Amino acid sequence: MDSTDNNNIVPPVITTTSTSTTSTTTTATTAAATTATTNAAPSTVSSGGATNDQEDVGVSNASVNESLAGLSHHKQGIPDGSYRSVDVNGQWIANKLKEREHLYTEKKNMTIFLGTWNVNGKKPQEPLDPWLCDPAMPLQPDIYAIGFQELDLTAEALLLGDTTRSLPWEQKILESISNEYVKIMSRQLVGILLCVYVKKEHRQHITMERSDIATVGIMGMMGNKGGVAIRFKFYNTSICILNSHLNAHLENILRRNQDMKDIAKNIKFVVEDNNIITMFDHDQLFWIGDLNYRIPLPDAEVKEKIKKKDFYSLFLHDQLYQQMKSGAAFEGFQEPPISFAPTYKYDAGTDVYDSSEKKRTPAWCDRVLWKTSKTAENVGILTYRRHELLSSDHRPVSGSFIIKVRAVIPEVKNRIYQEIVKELDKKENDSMPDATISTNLIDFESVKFMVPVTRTIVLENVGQVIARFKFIPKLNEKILCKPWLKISPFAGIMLPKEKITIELTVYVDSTTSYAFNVANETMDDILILHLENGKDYFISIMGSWKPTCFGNTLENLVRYQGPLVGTQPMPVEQKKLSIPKELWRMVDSLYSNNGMAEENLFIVSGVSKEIEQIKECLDTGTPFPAFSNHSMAEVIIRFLEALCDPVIPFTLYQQALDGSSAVLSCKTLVSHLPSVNYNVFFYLISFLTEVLSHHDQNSLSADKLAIVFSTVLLRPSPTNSALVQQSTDATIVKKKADFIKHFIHSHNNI
Amino acid sequence: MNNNNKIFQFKLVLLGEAAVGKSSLVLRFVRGHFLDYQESTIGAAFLAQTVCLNDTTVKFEIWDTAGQERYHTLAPMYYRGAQAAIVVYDIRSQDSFERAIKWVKELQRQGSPNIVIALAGNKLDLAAKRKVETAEAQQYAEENGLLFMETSAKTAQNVNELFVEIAKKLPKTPNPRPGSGRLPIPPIENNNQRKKPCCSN
Ligand SMILES: Nc1nc2c(ncn2[C@@H]2O[C@H](COP(=O)(O)OP(=O)(O)O)[C@@H](O)[C@H]2O)c(=O)[nH]1
Ligand SMILES: [Mg+2]
Repeated sequence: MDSTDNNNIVPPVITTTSTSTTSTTTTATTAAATTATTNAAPSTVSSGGATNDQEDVGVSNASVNESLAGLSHHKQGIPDGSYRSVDVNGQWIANKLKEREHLYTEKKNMTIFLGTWNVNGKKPQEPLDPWLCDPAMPLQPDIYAIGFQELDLTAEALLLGDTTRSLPWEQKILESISNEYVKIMSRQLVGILLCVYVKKEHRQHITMERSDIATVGIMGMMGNKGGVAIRFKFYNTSICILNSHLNAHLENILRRNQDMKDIAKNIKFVVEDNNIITMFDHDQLFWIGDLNYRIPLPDAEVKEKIKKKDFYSLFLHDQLYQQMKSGAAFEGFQEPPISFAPTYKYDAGTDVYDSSEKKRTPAWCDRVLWKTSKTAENVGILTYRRHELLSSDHRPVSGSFIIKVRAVIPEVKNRIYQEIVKELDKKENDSMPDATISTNLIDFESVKFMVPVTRTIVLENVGQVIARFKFIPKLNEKILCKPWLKISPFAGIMLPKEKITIELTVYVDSTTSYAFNVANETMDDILILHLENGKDYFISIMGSWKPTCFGNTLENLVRYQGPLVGTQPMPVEQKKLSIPKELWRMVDSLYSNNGMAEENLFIVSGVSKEIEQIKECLDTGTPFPAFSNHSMAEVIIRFLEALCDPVIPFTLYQQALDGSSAVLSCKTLVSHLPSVNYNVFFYLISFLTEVLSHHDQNSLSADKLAIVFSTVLLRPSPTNSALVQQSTDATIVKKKADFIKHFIHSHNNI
Repeated sequence: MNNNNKIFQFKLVLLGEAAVGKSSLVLRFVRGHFLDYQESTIGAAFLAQTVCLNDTTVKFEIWDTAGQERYHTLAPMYYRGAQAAIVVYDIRSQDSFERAIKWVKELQRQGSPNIVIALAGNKLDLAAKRKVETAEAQQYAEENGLLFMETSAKTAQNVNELFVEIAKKLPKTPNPRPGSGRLPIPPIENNNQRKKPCCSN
């Protein structure tokens, strides 16, 4: 459930990123913007921080991953797939099914028989047929609810809760009603017993059977008066039956009224989902029993009216009728018209009203009432009668009614269920995001060292809902794309009909050129663009890389005897060149072109067109075109700067700085360089010494040259952001220059 | 039918050579139509569809994948965690049948342990140009414990039936584990520890 809630949470990362990206145009600013916004976002992005490399400005995944860390964080809140949880769907379907109940149910008339008899403590003697299966009964009832009072007047029942006396009565019931019936439930409270039976064919449609009792005896503790209730669901209709024995005696009207209210208040049932309901939470409520209301008229008058069968005028004096009319008790209950003589009090075994000294006035103590809920259809009255069983001082009474229930038509319900399920599927599928993508193939064509190439993809939301997209890594991979590729934006959100342009930029610098120049990897990849809750798009990336000495390694370059373009490297074990021939070609051409005498050589910039031509010639092996010495000098610097690992390798950078003030430690360090690096280092030193010897023409000094060359020969690893940041500090610049200067000065001494 | 309300959710993936009719089968099953020109899938598409059985309801989360060989390496992303797979071939192409067999083998080796695999010989409406005999495919399916059906996305023949058979065969455990219905997104790590282009050792 909470996962559904989570689904609504848009992490700040996504929102901010997407707003920034829609407005950005150039790749550089996008990179900055992305980094800025993600850094500004709250702690969602914290996981990426530790190894973050701020120097990675030009290209790449760094900021991307940092933001993605935020995304994946968000993802954790929603276990994949579970927010379209089965339970939630099931619930929705159940609700819809309920709404359409009228379509797959049919009304059926059911009859219910309710009987009540105060047996005055007698054990069963005569068959109950005259009461329970009166041949005059128009229909065989679907349900029997049979209530007794004073079934057990013994002290054991009262004090110990002994219920053994009920068994013979239940036995007697079964003898009368046919074996087409099964018991749903019975419940006893001392002398009050209620048994409910149903026709076998309906048994499976009786559900949620519950019972409860309520005592209204002395201080509510003794069960000699009170009520027993059984409730259940019959098809779709909830039914509650209460059998009660209220307090006796003519004058106790208010007491009886109060008994009724106490019982009604105290009866409770626990039903589905732990809901607690009362008697009044049912479609049909029947209240039967010895309610003990009397007729406050002189005995002779009552008997006279009975003799004349003038029940109507007698009924007008009935206490229960009076109480119900005034609303003092049994509010909202109804009773079928009484057309039978009072059922109390007889001399047991006879047809004679009480002949004892007490001479109790006859009364309708035994009644059947009902109350239909406002939302249910009222019952139909079939019969309301008394029955001539003589063993007690009461006569049994019965009321039978028609109840309308709704029965499920299984085939129809099944069909409607399927319709609902299909409807949900359709809604779900329609509400999935959909987008079109302008191309699935991006070809960067020819890619050059440190020259960014950008291609765009247009993504358009053609679905009916907001589409959230993001690039995702392949299985078992952690990065979205190769480090030489930058995706901007890599995640975002589109309103329906909205388009977004995604820029893909390849940029290969010395941190990524190794793959192509040395490891011979191709520029192929497949990106996965994922629409949240929807489809994935594959985007193939292609590009062609021309091998170049820029962004290469010294070790690799000395394996090429010919130009990089078009020659194969010599096998590793074979003899190598002592230094890269490209370096030799450049230095040599400066010599030939009288470069040594050029004023401010290495200080003045070259001409970019010439620089590009020189680079091209270096890689293809073709002769240099006419060039200015400044252009050639700049290419030398750029060549050294682009080496994947500088002449003094990254691993020795810190050591070189630390020892820069001591000649000896600098020399020791250099003597331990790999042989190619060592060769190149001294080749350059001798060249610089040569340059310095022309200082009257070129106005250069050892200091100037040391500063220029130390920045390219002695570089910190770009992955170490702290070192990179410090490397332009004045003290560090000086240390680096000092390192080189030791060699330029003392060259002749080595 | 009381059980109707129990919904079991399964991830199903479609695999097979390009143009054999994977997307068309899904479209027929889910939306009930067929397109003569079905755009080829470059990626993976997701749809949901429910099958009502007599006593239970099975909800499929269907992943339709790209069949082109160049995307082969990405397929595990989609069949991973799938409890069911339909491997499709075109009855007019022996090659596509061979490819289907390769997919079956890959699934048996690397798919979910109890994955229910169905082999579908599609384009049955074009049986006049048949190259793969029913008996041959049937036998292969039997030997490998696969469901087998020849289908036509165009005429709808056997399409629902195929999904119903799969739904029936899937184990209805009391506590349905929908697997990873959606694409699993592995945690992203910072990419700063790049492979060092270094030759100093
Ligand atoms: N005649 C016929 N054509 C089909 C059938 N299924 C698919 N097609 C067609 O075959 C082509 C490829 O179908 P598609 O669903 O895109 O194949 P996929 O690449 O496997 O997804 C489309 O032009 C479809 O219209 C079929 O059962 N009968
Ligand atoms: Mg397809």
